[in-house]
Amino acid sequence: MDTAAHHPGLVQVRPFATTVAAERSGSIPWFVWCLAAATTFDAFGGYWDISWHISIGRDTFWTPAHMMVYLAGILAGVASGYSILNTTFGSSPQAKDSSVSVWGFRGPLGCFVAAWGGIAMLTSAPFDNWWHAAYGLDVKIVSLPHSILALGEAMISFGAVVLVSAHLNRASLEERPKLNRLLLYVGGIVTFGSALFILESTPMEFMHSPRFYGAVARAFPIALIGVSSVSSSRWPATTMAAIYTGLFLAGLWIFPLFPAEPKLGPVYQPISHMVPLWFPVLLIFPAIALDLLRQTSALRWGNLKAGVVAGIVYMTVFVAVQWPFGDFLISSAARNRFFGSIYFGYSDPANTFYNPYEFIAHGTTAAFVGGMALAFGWAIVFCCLGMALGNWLKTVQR
Amino acid sequence: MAPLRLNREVQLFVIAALLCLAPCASAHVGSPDVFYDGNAGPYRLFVTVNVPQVIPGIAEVQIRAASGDVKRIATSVSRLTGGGSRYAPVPDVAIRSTVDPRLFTSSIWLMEYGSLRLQIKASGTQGDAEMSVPVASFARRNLAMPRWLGALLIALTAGLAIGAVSIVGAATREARLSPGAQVTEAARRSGRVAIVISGVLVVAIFYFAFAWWTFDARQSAMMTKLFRPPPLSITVESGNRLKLKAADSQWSKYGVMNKLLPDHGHLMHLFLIRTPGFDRFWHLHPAHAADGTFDLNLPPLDAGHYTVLADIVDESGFPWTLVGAIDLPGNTENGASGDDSGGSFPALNTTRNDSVDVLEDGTRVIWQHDPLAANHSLILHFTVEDPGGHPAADLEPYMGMGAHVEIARSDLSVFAHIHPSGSAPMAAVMLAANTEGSRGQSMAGMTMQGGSKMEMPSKVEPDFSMPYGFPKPGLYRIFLQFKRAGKVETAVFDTQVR
Repeated sequence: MDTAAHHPGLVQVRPFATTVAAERSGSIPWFVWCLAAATTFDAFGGYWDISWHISIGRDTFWTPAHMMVYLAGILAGVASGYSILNTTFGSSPQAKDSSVSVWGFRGPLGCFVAAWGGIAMLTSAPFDNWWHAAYGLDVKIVSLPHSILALGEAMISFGAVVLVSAHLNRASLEERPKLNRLLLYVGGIVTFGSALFILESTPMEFMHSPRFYGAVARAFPIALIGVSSVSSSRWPATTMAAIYTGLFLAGLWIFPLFPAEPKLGPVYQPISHMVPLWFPVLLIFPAIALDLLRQTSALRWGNLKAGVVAGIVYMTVFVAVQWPFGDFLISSAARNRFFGSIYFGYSDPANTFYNPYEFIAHGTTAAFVGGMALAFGWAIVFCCLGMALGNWLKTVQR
Repeated sequence: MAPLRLNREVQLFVIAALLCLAPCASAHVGSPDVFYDGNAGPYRLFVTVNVPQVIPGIAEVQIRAASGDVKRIATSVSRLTGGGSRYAPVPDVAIRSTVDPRLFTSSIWLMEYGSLRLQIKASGTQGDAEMSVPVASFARRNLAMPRWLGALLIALTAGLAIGAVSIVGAATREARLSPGAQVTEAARRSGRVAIVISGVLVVAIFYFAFAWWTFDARQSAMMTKLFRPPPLSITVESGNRLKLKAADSQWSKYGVMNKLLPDHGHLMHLFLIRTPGFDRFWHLHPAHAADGTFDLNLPPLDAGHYTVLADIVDESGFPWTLVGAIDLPGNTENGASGDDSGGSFPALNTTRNDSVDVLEDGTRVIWQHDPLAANHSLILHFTVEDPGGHPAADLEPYMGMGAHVEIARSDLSVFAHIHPSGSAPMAAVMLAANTEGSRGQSMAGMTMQGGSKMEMPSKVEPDFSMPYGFPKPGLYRIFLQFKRAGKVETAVFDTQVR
């Protein structure tokens, strides 16, 4: 007799009779932890590296921040590579059954994605080196070689999300809370990494301009909504936003405790300690709104309509909270260590060439309105993409 | 990946460059490196700064102490004036040569365009002292990608593209199958469709990436071009009056020519050189008009084709040389005045390798030198003797200095106007010396008295030393100008540089 036919309950609770042995025992495979760790090192290394460059300036191949990023790439590469090779050439039928095939190799999909990310990171290195020689040491985050690096790092993170999602979708009820927590942690780190990538568009003086809101409209929704769709938590987006907020606040308050001096000139600001990145954007509020939206039965989470509504809600709440908060950050009340409006990188000509406590001009009213409308449009598009991603992640098994 | 408010900074910098710093030309023509001879307190130092090809980039610095009492040298970079000039980074300790303990080398990052300052701190048996050397920072070229790197990138990105498309196919085909389930034909079809769609997306991404790269390359080329000198527009009016202006709409718009610093007494030093023989040479000082143009009455000169080189210094201390050419009719009226000097000279001679020039009044000018090589730091040393063969005792300051030297390659791809302190313009040197921490600094031939004012000793010794380095091989003419008994003399030397 067919086991599934005689035990439909068993099929529903645990439909996959050939679940990997590790999941039966409740343990998460080591390479899943490695990818989660790689994602963490990438993000932390990125934050540290940016702070290093605006505090000290001069760096070498071997700075601690760079070492963290290399470690991320190595961890991702080794973990993914081992998993793929072990699945392909190993003798575990369960592993093969839970794998996909690429170019004759078999392995978890998340590992292939993460391995791709590691190779992309490696590709960016010689390119970035030549870019400096050709166009000078690039002093911005978003350059073409850096974007390839960021894409590689993003794919390592995405690979981790896919891997954890696949395990979560196959896991027993007892195993799901642990996997869910890991998923939200990785999602939070992805959100943190997204905030780093849009850092140049999110200083306080941009908070009354479409540029700021366009950036936040594109950077966060895919991860917030995509991961929320897989999570069994009631507050997944809030959790991820809280992780990002907590980490940025920790950086804001802890980094300035460490001495640092600029080693590159010209120097426009007197620097004696590490300069942190800015106060986190108020992502927690639109994240709460998204979670509330997801909980409501009036909206079928995952379809196009939900994506449109989510986009509008996300941006509306964001503008409503961030706009007045921008006024606060510009004011003298925020010029303290807690809110961080006093920090400028050594090469930032604030108070020399420009007034940092003034919002940048946003052009004509028509340009402003058009820009903000475009930001809302981006939010809708990216929320819909997040919904599509979430729908897919909910069904990933391998 | 440093300043985060970069877009705004780039905008501000470009505007500032146009308004205040001015589109900065190559310092002189084809001679961007800095050669400097000065004193940090009791220590005489010869400084060479080999500026990088691209900015930001690394400049190589060599500092040679004249005496052995310098034990340590540290260097740092700041702006010459304005924001960024007040604070300095942690200085780098220069490496002392084990072979020649008087030679120190250092590598410094030039992070910005414009007028920068190399701060030197010397420590030795006579204590600590500081000196500042102005450095004009600008990019000179764009680097092409080596073939091997291009091939490697193509291979890697092609692999990444194929990998991405394949992974998307696998994700569509198999990722949602329960473990152990077989791939159906429908799933394979979906996988193939996904591969095609993702392939199109990958191609679109590559297109976008190349467009972005092209845009950045154009931006870089634009910055390099922005820092090339605009052409000099020259017209002759009323027979012997020369009118000059910069032929650039941005310069006119921002009034660049109305914001210049006087450089050893004049807003512009103009050089007329008849080509191809270099047999007529004039060093003139046009007057500045309210509309930003310069004009002057021509000295007596023969008709011919003249290259015109105008040296000016903008208000940030950045030097640049505007170049033009004009066919001048002969002129017999003597419009020269004040510090103007020049005359007729033998034509440039490819076979001569001069070391002595005897002037019309019998004055002998001796240039002691070994065979010259390009890209080497040198000291050009000249001695002036009276007709009796004795060291001349009646030399006077000429525009505040003992001597001025103009160096021109036969094709005028190199032109430099240097002084005993070196190749940096005197106006910039004064700005550098006037900063806090540079007290006790002096240039060769001049000393700082108490505050910031440089004073020229009244007596000029008949020996001149000037640091310089020829940027490339070729035939050069050197014009040495000094003042003797109330008259400005010009000696010429032709030399081959290997």
